[in-house]
Amino acid sequence: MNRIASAGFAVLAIATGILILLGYFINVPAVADFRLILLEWAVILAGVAALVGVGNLFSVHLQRVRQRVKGSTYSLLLLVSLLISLFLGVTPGLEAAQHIMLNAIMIPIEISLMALLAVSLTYAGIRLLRHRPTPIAILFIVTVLLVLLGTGAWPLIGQLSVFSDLRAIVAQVLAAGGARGILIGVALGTLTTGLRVLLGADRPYGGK
Amino acid sequence: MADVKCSMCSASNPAEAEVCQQCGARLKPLTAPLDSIHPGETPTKISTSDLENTLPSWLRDVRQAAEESPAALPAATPEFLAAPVAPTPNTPLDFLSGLSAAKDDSDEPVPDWLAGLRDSLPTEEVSQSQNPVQDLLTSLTPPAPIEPQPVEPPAEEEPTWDFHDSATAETPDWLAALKAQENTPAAPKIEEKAEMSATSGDFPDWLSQLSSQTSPAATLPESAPNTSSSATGDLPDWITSLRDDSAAPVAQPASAEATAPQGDLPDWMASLRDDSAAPVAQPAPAKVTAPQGDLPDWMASLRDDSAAPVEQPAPAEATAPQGDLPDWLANISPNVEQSPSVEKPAKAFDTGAFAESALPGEAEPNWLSGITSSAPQPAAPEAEPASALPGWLDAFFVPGAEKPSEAVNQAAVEMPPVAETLPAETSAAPTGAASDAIFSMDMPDWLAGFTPSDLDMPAPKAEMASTASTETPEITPVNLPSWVQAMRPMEAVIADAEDVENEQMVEKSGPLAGLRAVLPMIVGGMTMRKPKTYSIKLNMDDAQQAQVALLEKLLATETKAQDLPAREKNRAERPLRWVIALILLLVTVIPLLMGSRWLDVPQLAGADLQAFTETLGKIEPNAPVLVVFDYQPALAGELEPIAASAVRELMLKQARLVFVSTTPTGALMSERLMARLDPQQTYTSSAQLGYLPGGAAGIQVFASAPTRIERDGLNGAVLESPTLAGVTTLNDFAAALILTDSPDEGRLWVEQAAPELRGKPLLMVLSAQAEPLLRPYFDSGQVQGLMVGLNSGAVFEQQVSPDGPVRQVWDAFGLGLIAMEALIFIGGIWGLVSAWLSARAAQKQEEA
Amino acid sequence: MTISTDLITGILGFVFTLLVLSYLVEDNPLFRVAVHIFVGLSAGYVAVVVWQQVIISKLLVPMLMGDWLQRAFLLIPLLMSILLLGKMSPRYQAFGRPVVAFLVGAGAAVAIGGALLGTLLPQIQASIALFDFSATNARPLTETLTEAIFILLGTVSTLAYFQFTVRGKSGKRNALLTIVGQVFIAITFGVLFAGALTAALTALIDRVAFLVQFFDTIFFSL
Repeated sequence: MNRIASAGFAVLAIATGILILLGYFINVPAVADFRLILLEWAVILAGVAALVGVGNLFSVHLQRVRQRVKGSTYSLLLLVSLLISLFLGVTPGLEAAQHIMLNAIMIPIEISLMALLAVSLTYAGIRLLRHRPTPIAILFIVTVLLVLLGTGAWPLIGQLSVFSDLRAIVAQVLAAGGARGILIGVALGTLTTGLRVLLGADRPYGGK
Repeated sequence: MADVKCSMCSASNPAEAEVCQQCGARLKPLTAPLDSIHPGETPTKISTSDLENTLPSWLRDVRQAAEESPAALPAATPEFLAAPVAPTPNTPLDFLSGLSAAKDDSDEPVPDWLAGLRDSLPTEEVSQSQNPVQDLLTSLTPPAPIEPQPVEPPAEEEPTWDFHDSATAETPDWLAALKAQENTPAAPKIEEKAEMSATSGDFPDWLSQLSSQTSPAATLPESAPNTSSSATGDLPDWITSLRDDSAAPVAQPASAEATAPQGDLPDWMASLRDDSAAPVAQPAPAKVTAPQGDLPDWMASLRDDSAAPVEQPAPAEATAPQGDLPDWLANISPNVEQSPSVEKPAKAFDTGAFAESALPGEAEPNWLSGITSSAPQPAAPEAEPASALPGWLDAFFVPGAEKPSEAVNQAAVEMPPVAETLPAETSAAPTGAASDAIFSMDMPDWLAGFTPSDLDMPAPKAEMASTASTETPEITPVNLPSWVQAMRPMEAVIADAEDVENEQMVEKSGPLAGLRAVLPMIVGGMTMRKPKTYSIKLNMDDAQQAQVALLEKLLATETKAQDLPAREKNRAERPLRWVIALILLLVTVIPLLMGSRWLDVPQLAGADLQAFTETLGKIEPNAPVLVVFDYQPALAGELEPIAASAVRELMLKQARLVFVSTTPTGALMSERLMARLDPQQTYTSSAQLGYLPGGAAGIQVFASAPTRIERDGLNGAVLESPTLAGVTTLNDFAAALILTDSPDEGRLWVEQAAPELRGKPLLMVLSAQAEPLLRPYFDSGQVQGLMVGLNSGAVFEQQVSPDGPVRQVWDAFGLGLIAMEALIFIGGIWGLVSAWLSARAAQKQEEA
Repeated sequence: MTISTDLITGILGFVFTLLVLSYLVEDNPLFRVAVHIFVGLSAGYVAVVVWQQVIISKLLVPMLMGDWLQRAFLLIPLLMSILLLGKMSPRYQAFGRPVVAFLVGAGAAVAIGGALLGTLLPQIQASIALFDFSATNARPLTETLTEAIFILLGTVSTLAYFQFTVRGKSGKRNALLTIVGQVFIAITFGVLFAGALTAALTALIDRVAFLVQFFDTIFFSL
């Protein structure tokens, strides 16, 4: 029974993928319409998958609160915040509160967390050569410095063109080549993985 | 030739080999292979002639004679075979029938003593040993049975041992002859004997004479089962004569001079008669002298021995040549004289002992039982020693025993003459050596098979049951001839065995405890005990256990997450972080607090910014422009200032801004931006399409049909608004402005939406961290303009709206960058120096 | 005195900003509280947005108000949505397997089309077009050619290095290609790191600016 189900799931995935992929190469109205229908279903189901993720988060922290593990107080705080956010979001007439919640709490916290990275990344840049004094690491740091030097401006002297040109060369030529290679590699990997899924070699949805 | 495979060990052997070379098993069966038995088939007839070789010789002779001349069958056939033998319970065993058939019996040659006796028998022996032999034979005569026999033979065939009835073939001829001699005068007996001799030349003359000399007074108990008249004709003459002779002294002890055909008796028998007459009150037996010259040594010695303890001096006179007496006779107990008053029927043998023969449990034949009962019961002490003697001889020498029957008394009375003539030593218990000597000579099989120990009641039975007898057996048990064994009643064979088996087969345990005749357990087969439990634990030594523990430890560590090595805690880490944070905060706070304009804004735009600016400028007024907010709130500080300039430009063109986002917070970000740009919310040419889930799939759907997904949703009114008028496909937009901080999101939009734009510009406002991986799309022409980070934003803002939000943070941004550059540079230099110093120290240590 | 929402927003923002920035001093419970509140609020907001803009807008309303054809087409996603909700329970998560299979198949197809048509072919074409000097270009040829060479070299070497085809293999050619690839990768990552630094700095500047503005508003404007 499991084998039949697994085979059925594979057939479903493969059929869906092939139909959608055909729309990229075949410009037939029927195919295009059926493809759009399938994509709309995928969009709806992706939203439901986001709900499933939130539900899973809720259940995990709820279990931590029930088991009273270490840090269960923070889990309780999380659950309370989640419920409050849900309440404020679905209850009509509480848009202002929701606005305050988002603008006063969520966004400032998120931005602050990003601000912490400035210190952490600077500290990492300072400690890099102490732990790994290799040519590649030196090149990395030099690149960082050149880009930073070419980005900002110096007091009284302004932005130095030398640094600007160097930054342009480094970022727009050297880094571009490398970035292109990375993009091509990512595209090749995506192509390979997708073909394996469409061929049934990989089944991330379970089954053999 | 093909090799033969052994059936036991499956080894190959040469074809000619008879025994396996490897295991020794026989390769070629001794018997011809038998045909397989098929159920339902009728048995195949087998010619009985094939079995002729297994028949006894006498039987073969009969068959041969029958085949040659059926008329001569009666003559060739012994009398005992002339008539069908109807087995009866009390029919005496015709154990002597073999004598008649031993004419050409090569398997059982006539013993020398018997042959010798036969030659020298005629007169002397008989006359000399008249009395003792007569007594002996008398004792051999089966006495009258104590109990009536259940089976009644025909009238003329009493279920007794009747020597004189030759009509039946049950009894041997010699026995029949003996019987006939009882009832008829001597002459007829002689004639019978002659008849017997004619019919069965195996019977010696002396036996015939003996039977003819049997006195009529020696009345045989008619009711004795063993005295079957049918057996008369089978009795040898010597036995018959012995009986007659023995019967005579009962009434007339003086008749020790009886007309027993002494001449027919072997010397040893005759001497026995003389000797046996001696212990009797009448010393007549003393005169009886056995033809000592003809007696075998064992008999002579027996006579001498038996005559010794006799009070009468007759034994001295009647000393038979000791060497001639058989031991069993020489050692005959003299006690037989003690029971002269007891009438004992003449009997040939003391079948009482025979009843307790070598086969325990064997039913006593009637004719033997008669003899046994009539024989004087030996006294207990004497009985034991006398057990070495044949039973028929015990009657001579056990005077003190009680006589339960007249037959016994008669036998006791008849015995003395024989006993008297026997040496006194015979009164002593015949030793085992003596008994062995008695039976070490060539004894007939029918006689050799009986041992004195067999003649006793339980004791001999017990002795015979045990493999090693406690007392030395006086008579060596010998194998019975096949024809005797064949006629041996199965009860005699099975009885004792059954007794033994019954004793062994009493189940003592299990559910059948207490029951008899339970099938015995097969040795090594099923047992009632609890099956042996085997431990499932392996027996391992210390080294193996240590290895097992090590393996288990290795396996456990495989699944267990290994703890990361404790990072070397840097004492300067926290202070350094504080310093960095402090520096960065200072360099950012001071310009912001002071509102400084210390740093110049760059004026030169790069190619990407130029293209962005140019493209954005080419958008026509009131054109629908798709603005995608795909950045996180975390980078709102970077993107909002630079996006604000671009959106403001579009707003200035009165472009119809259509906002959409693939992140849940995108709509929030668009609201923040619009609130920043239009706090009063007076700009109405904007539409919010909300959250677009599904990632690439959602972008593909939107790119294919932007209004399809919103057709009937809550945003249906939006679709009706003039903002989206004329917009059905992505190509209907004048441009698409992607605001993103993630290279992946930007890539997805480029991959999915750019083809659907079909030449319409795709502009991107990127965070500085997303620029390297999205610039190739600009280089490839898929993106028509890029505005990257605060640098580009400052330059763009400078062109459109100086002193905008970017300019306000530009000094903090510049100083912050300088601080970062300085910190990283100084830290790098310090790191390199530290590393070099450490390496140098390590090198010095290595050199040291 | 009425408290405006801006004041509340400012106060809360100020407080939570300080809570998070307190991590610069040391990891403390206040920072954890702020983080857990942020996660809860974000999860709730996402759930609300999905419910309103996906479930209701794209599924329930069309089912209730659409025509029979539209309803028929939406029955399947409705059923699949219900099955997908079983993924939240270990007992019923097997019901969500077919839905996941559908999503995987659709996602794989879209990814293949986008990677092939949106990245792979255009980038390869762009790499070739670098040496097309026929296009009107104000820049000198040498400069263009040099750029093209470096870009091509960077592309090839980085691709070869990331595909694990040259790493660890012996040979002078492989060793040269490995070194070149490492160089371009280091430069690329350096640029990326610089951009992250820049972005983080701007976030820091934004927060500092907020704090300054709040202080100014509270202490100087009120």
